[in-house]
Amino acid sequence: MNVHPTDDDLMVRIGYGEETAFRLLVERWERQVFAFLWRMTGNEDDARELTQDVFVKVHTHAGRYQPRGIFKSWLFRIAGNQSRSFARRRKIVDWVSFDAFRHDRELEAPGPDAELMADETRQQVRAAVAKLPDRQREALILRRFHEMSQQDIARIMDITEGAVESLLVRAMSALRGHLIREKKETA
Amino acid sequence: MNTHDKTNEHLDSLLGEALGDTAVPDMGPSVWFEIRSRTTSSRVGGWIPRFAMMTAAAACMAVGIFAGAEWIPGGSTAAIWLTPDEVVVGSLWDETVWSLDGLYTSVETMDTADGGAR
Repeated sequence: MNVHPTDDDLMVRIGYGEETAFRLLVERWERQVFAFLWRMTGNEDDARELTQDVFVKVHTHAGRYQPRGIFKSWLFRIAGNQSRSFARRRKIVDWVSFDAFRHDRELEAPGPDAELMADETRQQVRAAVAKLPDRQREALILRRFHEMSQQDIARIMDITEGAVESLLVRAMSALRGHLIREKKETA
Repeated sequence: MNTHDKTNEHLDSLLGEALGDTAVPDMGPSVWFEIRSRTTSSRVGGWIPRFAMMTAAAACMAVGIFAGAEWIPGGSTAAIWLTPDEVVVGSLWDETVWSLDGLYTSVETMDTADGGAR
């Protein structure tokens, strides 16, 4: 038996009902999926719950999976769909955990000013990302944090590469706008 | 490098600090066990176990009817080895319905349309 089976190998074995293969696949990818979903939702609990949903879907559709070496794209497509349908259910993206995180930090012994300012900047950037439309945010997060090419993102989001580029440009521009406005308001 | 590139570079670095790998909260223990319980329970609730349970229930019902279990409607009357008398004795039917005495009694005590007894 192959010591380091590929994702495609594991998917074929999962299709035959092999639980060990499924466990290996979950443990290989769960942290990346969780990180993506946390960036999309801004909430740890929701991200953890959605991570489970993603792998339950993987298990359900394993029998129909075509092993063509694009497992990562397929997995993130499921994750993207889950996060978008979650956002539709919730209507608004819940970034409460970021506020909680901020409050927790404020309750701790005050650190150096520079650290507080850096923390505030992080909150502002997260809030600005949260304000982006779902698809812009998804394209930006996949490109910046999950080492996806435009071709991968196009496959995941079921759009053309040109549309991906357009989403990325608009996301960066909107983000810049949000941050400039935020800075003016706090100044 | 023009101003636009510099701005993008700065923005990219801010993004990295706010949402980069070091900013992602710890997921805690693996979600494997939750996932396994969900995928296992969905298998348990699938159509194969349901079919098996329905078959078992039908088999129990058939055995009950064959054995003449009284708690099954019509069960005792369907028991094939009982004599007709035994069937009547063991049945759920109210025997007074079939007795003439019972019939007369019910006619005598029946209320008339104007409220008086016949």
